[in-house]
Amino acid sequence: MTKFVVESVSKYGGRIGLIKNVERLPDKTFKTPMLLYLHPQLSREVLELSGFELSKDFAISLPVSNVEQMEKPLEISGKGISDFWALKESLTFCSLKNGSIFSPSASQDKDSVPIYRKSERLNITPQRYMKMMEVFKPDFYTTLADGDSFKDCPKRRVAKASEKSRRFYEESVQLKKSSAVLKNSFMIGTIVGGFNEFERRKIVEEMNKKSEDVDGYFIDGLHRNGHEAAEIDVTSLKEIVSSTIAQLPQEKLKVMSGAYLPNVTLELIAQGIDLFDSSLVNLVTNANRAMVFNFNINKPAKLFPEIDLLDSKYKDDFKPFLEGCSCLACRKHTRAYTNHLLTTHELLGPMLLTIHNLHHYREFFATIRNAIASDKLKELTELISEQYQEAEGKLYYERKIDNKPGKYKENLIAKDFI
Amino acid sequence: MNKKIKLLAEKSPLTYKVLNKCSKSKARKGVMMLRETKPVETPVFMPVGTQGTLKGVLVDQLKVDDMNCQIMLGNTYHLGLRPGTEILQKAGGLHNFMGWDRALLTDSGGFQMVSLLELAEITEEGVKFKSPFDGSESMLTPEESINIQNTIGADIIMQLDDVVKTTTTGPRVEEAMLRTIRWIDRCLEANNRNDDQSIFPIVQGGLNPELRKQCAEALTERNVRGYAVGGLSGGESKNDFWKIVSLSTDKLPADKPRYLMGVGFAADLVVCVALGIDMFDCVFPTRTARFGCALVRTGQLNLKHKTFEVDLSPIDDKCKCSTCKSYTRAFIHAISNDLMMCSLITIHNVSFQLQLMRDIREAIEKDEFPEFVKTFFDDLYPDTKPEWIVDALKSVNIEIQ
Ligand SMILES: [Zn+2]
Ligand SMILES: [Zn+2]
Repeated sequence: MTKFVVESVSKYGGRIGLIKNVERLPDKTFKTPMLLYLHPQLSREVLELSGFELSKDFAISLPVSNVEQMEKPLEISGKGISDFWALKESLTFCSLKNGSIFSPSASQDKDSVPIYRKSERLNITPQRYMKMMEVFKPDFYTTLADGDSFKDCPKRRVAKASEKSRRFYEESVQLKKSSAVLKNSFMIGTIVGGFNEFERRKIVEEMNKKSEDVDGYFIDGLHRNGHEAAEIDVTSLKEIVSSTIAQLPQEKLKVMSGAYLPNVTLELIAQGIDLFDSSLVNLVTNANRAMVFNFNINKPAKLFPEIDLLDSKYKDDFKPFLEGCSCLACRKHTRAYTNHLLTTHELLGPMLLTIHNLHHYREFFATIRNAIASDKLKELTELISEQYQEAEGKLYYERKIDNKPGKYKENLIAKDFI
Repeated sequence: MNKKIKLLAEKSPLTYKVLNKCSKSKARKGVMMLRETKPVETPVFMPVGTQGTLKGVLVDQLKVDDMNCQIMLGNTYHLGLRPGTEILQKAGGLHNFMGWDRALLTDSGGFQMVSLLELAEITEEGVKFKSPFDGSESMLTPEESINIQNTIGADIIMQLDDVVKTTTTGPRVEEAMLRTIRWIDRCLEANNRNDDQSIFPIVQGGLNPELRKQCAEALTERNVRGYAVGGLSGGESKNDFWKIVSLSTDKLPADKPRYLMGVGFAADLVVCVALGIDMFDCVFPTRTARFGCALVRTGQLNLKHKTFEVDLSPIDDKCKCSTCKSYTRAFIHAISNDLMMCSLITIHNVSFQLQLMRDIREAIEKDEFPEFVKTFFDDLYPDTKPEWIVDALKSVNIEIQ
């Protein structure tokens, strides 16, 4: 069965881990800290032509909120969701929500968590969720929890979410044990509770009672995805993550989802988070921008981290997005062409941006792994932080939401919500 | 043959050679050699990349062996507005701008103007129109159209023609036809890149056989490297349509390529190849993909429809495209709200068109085209075959009943 081992811990922060013995992919080893490609919208052929080595260490994340409708065909096919997605050699992760799409607070009931598909509300229970995991057959997945909380969330909301999530966790453990398919699966316990250490501790204690029931931890409920993660208050984030991790068994996998900026991601990695998803790639792409921040500590030039390719100043700029980048978009296309594609709303525009941004962010993660292995995470963090400090308040991320605009109320704090 | 064609190609930017002829119909297989780009085998379907891209498709995807798209079409009207000639000039033409090193064809921009802009008006000087952006009045003259197309730099460029609605009758049809002949001379005169860009004149004349004949004859006297048949596929009856196509190919020189503009439904392609057409273009295969429609030999599938929810077969199990190799109908149905759907179906639909043309060429080469046509229409119309198709094919000695 799938195993996670910590290979080395750097005294300068961060750790290298290995995911191996994956039942579907017995010959492969995946190194952490790792980036999961979230909800792939580049086809297999496009990924291959773009130079992503699918056979090597590709990993994907498929949120239930995007793939719930696949349960029926997959039940019939009997094959897992990565096969359906034509990415069967990729390590496959499932969780409830898409970290790149803002999920406004919704009214909650006791026994389920809502997701939205085409603005239709679907209430997901632990039973339904685990049934989907049986059918989707991901290599690892998080347990269902109520993560609908954020920085200044009312206490009562957090308490309710935490109580519900504890129940869901217990149910998930039972459902896993009684399922022939999931018995040996890699299940990641979801820890919620907003920024309230007390509520988080309650779930952690529940999990620690029988720590062999769970193979890793998903630290959730800190933001409602989308722009909220990119704009999160870093100091309080660091505090709450650090106090949560302190209570968890060190040797197990730690996962976080959402569009944390690269400097924040590095802080989280320094604390021991092993797995992230590519939410930020989606946010940057949706803003028509290309990531160009420099992560080469041997040539520590400081760049403004993102360039806005919709800006007309690029309309006759025939340079690649980033000089020296080896992605297909930079090798074969120009800023000017992409500016034209974005101006004319051509689908190829976001495709080229995704190719570059995903490539850039995966390279960033490869650099992080090298930096940890060579005790240079501090230098890398400094280089990245300086570039993002420069950009503070200048990078705006679109509010892309997962239900109908009409129903959308930011910071909805109504009775039904609590 | 290759050596000989290469030699020819060095002299002219476009040389065409008929390689095989169907022994019954007017169908022919040929090859067009264009300067600096790879050869284009005909009969060919040209996918339309209006604004310098096919929707959601990388140019590299069009070049993979199983796709092997050899020529693509761009729209002068759209490209002239955005990115505009200034940027295309700086980029060194559309090939460079979009990263496509194979053949390109551009239209004149006139048709789009007349059909997209309400207030376009045709005078002897050119097409008068109001800018869609600032409302200012401008004029697209034959010279200006060629100027823009010279900047875009496509291998084949089209003359500006006087387009009238297909169903128009009376003196306006003749006027448009005669003006089109006058304009080809202005276009040829204006072409600054005759050494690497070939202008195709356009046969007009509505549904009037006499006018079409007169136009084709007049254009044949010009020194050009290929011809187009225009003004069809605009709501005329199919019966009129095929007769005009057939009459036009009869009148046009046999040693030059013939391009039927705006036609691309599978049945029309097969019939018009039999009538002697070599080149086609149509937005339909790419446009319909956006709405979830996939093309198959028996018609089309709307993959958004509930019936495909659990259909675990590919769109077409004989299709070699990357979509059919990797994905099922059920998968595409399940992602029909996602961006990837459009890309996946576009790839299949373009591949479908190109595969059909490959099959047609192969059949002509083996002199089995009439058999191919019969099988094709038996699959498409197992019961009754449309009368116009039966008649059109009968006129070139192919019986499908
Ligand atoms: Zn790049
Ligand atoms: Zn296909």
